[in-house]
Amino acid sequence: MSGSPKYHTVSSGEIRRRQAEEARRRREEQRREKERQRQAAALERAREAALARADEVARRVAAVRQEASRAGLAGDHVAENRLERAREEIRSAADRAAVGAAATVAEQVERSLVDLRQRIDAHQREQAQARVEAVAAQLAELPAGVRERYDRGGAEECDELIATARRYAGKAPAKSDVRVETAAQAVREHLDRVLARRAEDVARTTAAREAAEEVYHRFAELRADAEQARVPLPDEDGINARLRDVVTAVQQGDAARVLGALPELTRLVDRAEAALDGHIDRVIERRELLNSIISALPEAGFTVDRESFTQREDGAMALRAGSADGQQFAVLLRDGADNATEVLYTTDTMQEAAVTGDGKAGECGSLLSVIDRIGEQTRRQGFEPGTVRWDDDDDDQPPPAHSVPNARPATPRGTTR
Amino acid sequence: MTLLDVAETHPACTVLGPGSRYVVWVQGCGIGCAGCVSPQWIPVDHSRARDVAGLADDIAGRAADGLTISGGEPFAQADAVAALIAAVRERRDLSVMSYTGYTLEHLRAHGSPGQHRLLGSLDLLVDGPYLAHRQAALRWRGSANQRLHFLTGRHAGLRDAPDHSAGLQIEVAADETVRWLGVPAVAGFRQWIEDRLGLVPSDTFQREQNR
Repeated sequence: MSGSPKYHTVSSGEIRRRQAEEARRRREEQRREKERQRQAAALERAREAALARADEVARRVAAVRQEASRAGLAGDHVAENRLERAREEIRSAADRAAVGAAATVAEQVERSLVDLRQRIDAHQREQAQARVEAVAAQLAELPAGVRERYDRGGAEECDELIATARRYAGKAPAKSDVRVETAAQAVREHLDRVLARRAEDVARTTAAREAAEEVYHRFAELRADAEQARVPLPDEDGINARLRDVVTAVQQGDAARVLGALPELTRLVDRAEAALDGHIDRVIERRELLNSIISALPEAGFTVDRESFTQREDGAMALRAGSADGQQFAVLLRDGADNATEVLYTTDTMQEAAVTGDGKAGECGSLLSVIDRIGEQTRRQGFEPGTVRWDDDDDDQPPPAHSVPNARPATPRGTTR
Repeated sequence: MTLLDVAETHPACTVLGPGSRYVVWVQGCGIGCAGCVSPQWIPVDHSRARDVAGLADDIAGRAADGLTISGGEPFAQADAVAALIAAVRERRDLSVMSYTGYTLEHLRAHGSPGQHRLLGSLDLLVDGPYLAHRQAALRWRGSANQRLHFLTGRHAGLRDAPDHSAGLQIEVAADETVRWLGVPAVAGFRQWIEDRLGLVPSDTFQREQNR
């Protein structure tokens, strides 16, 4: 009434069939062409990829060869030749299978690099370790104790840097050069510092020792002089104590302590030397004065008892003489005021007169005559005797004129200065 | 379940009624007009009967502007068609148009209750048998004796529209089958186009192919 059934076209069907077949044929042809183009493009991509891969491997081969050369090892020339042939085959390959077959050479060559790389690494490691140990040996030329004494910070720094360089040499030899060079530089600077400081220290120690020896020898000579002159060496014990300290410091190599103590010690020795010289001068003077007195006593009727001569620690000298009638006479030479020699005289007669309390002026007059005679004699010997004073309060006494034990030579007595 | 013998359907026909319409061609016609353009749908054939409710769902879901019932003779299955329209209208208030080889007067005077219900549910009705000798290029109709009745006021605006052919809707499907919809403006159109383009009905073609 208002529509048709569904139709199939018959007369145009054959035309459309042929057209469809032609279209199909064209489509298939286009598909084949596209497939051919796709295959060609795929081949080209595969070729480019394989060549790129081969180029990459070739660069690695070249890089490894340079590393090997630097390490003194031979490169893998067989692998390089194989890779070059493979690149030619890839360029001329007609299909992807051929490209793939040639491309596998690049993989094989790359695998072959592993062995060479390991040999290079091992060689580099050995070289790096040898360089580190050379630096360590250089450091060990000076004992650690010496290095730490003169440059503790540098010693610790060197130990740390060498330990770091050792770690890199073992694990990453290619990166160890900088660490080794750093350690070597630190070792050089450290050793320079140590040697310079040690030399300076040795110089100071030597100077201190020599200065100490000079003082020591000066003091020894003073002591010998004092001993020879039979006089005490002033402040000997104090100087000895200080000298022992200095000797100990020298033995310990403590130059600072030595040099610190020497000025005061030298000053004490200088003072002792001056004092000793004064003592010795006075001793000589007293001996000469005593000799003069000794030579004057026979004129006064006295015979000198030379066995009675004594010299005290303080330099005082004493002598006894006796007259033909048995009178004893004693004389004492000692330090007086202003370093002058004071002479004390005493006789038994005067002691006895003093004990009885009478005849003082006569006894004194007798002693005075003796002193006058002695004074005359000593004046002829170049000594100028002083004025005779009478002093009974002096505690210091000449040796007793006779052998009475504990007899105290008391007043009256004469003194000249 | 109400069944309707359906020969063919189309979801978007623009030449059988106003707008774009879902068309149901029913199977079976008791009139048998000479020169009918759809003689293949004249025989009664229950093999393609469809459940009214399911078909109503499809129509309500796919129709744009309305529903057109053609055939075959819609009023030969008036109960089922009326039920279909009622079912559609339960879902959507679609415009409904129907063809019939009977005249409106005959249906009103002698129609069955079902035919009366069907008439009562239509907006447009094209009535009267197709008469080849009165073939003309008319709006939605094939011969001059056929009339277009506006049974409701839904399409009153179209009463004075030009009365000329709405043309044919020719479709080539993806399976290379061809069909045309509408009312041809000239007599013998079907034979002419079948001869000219070498068309054979698909059923016939398939049978020959299967041989």
